[in-house]
Amino acid sequence: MENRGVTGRHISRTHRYPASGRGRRRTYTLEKAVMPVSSGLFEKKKDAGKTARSVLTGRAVFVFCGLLFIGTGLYNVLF
Amino acid sequence: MFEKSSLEFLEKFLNSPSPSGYEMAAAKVYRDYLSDCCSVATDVMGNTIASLNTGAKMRVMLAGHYDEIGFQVVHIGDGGEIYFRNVGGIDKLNIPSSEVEILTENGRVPGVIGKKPIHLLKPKERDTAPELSDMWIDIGAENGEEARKAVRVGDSVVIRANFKMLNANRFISKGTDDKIGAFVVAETMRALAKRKLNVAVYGVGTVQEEVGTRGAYTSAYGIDPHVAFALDVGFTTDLPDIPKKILGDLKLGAGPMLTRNCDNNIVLGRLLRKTALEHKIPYQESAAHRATGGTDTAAVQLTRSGVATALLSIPNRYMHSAVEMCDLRDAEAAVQILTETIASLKGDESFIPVI
Repeated sequence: MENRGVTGRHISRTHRYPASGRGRRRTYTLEKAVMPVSSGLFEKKKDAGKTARSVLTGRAVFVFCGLLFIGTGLYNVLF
Repeated sequence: MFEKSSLEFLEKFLNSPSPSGYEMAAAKVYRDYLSDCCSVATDVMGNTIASLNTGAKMRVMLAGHYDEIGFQVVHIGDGGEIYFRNVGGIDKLNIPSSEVEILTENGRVPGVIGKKPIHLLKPKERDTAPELSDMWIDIGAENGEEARKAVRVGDSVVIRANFKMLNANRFISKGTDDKIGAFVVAETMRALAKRKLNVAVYGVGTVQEEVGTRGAYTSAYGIDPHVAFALDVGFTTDLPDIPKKILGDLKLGAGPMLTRNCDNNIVLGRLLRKTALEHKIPYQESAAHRATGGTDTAAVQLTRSGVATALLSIPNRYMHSAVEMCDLRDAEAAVQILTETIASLKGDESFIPVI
């Protein structure tokens, strides 16, 4: 029985990627690669192996802290 | 029970090296075994096709792949260490300390897969699976020059032949995935050669399944079957920590698994089960572990305008390791189900799934 995770193939042909770049990064994250994060919008190489939830949570916390920092700075400048 | 000649064939077949893309040795054993009862030919891909009653209108295909997972030499270091990559779904946790054979133009070169001893590993490394690039093949060469004389970049590598009967029914070997399936195909062809047939039967030993079911695509296109049976191995759950609630209750020795999922034609599946029940042949029900794919079944099913396909899985423990375990009773039951089902076909059946 073929192990598609290792041969670089995906669950279905509609999710098939070339054997380089994004496709290769997903080699060992078969089950996770089909989660919503696979849109590519948030993907980074360091995220291989993480679940979509943890990646999105990390991004959300980063963005929130960034906005808080900028907001605080603007408040101090303006008022 | 299988005859002695069948078991001798199985042992010779399993001990023949056949990494995906380099299946010639196994193909020869398969071809020789069937040449006295069938018309046999090997195609340009390396698939071996044994055929019976080819004048009949309905064509039935049996497919079992005889390629196995392995490695390929990518670099030879100055110290004589040989670096390699995987061919197919290698489990890197199973690899260290394995005995291997490198298939060169001048014959097989024995070696072992080595890695850094545990004493020299850092604490963090001891809890981490080594990468393939952290391992190498050692053929006992003094230096790179000596290793390069024996081995060339690109040579294929397989785990050393290790077939062994553990008791009357159960055996271990590397490459039972899926030479046990091709063995069932061969034994079914031998059994059908003694029966009156209303259909043409093509027993195919397929190639390159482990790297993308490639042999099944081309052989199915060439044969253009109406009906096809794929033989492969399937996971058992009679081991610790393999959840039955996810994979079902599947045992070694309880008969082949008949699978239901999108790859399997409903009408053909019903015919298989009916035949098994009528002849009191044991089988196990399996919901495939994913919706589709992973065996030759889907490749054949999606050929041309579609083929009525069914997967029979031979229960297998420790899949993709050097000690895959199977039970001869499961293979025998699979041969019986296939033989009786194909012999019962009149040649005018419809496998269109309608109510």
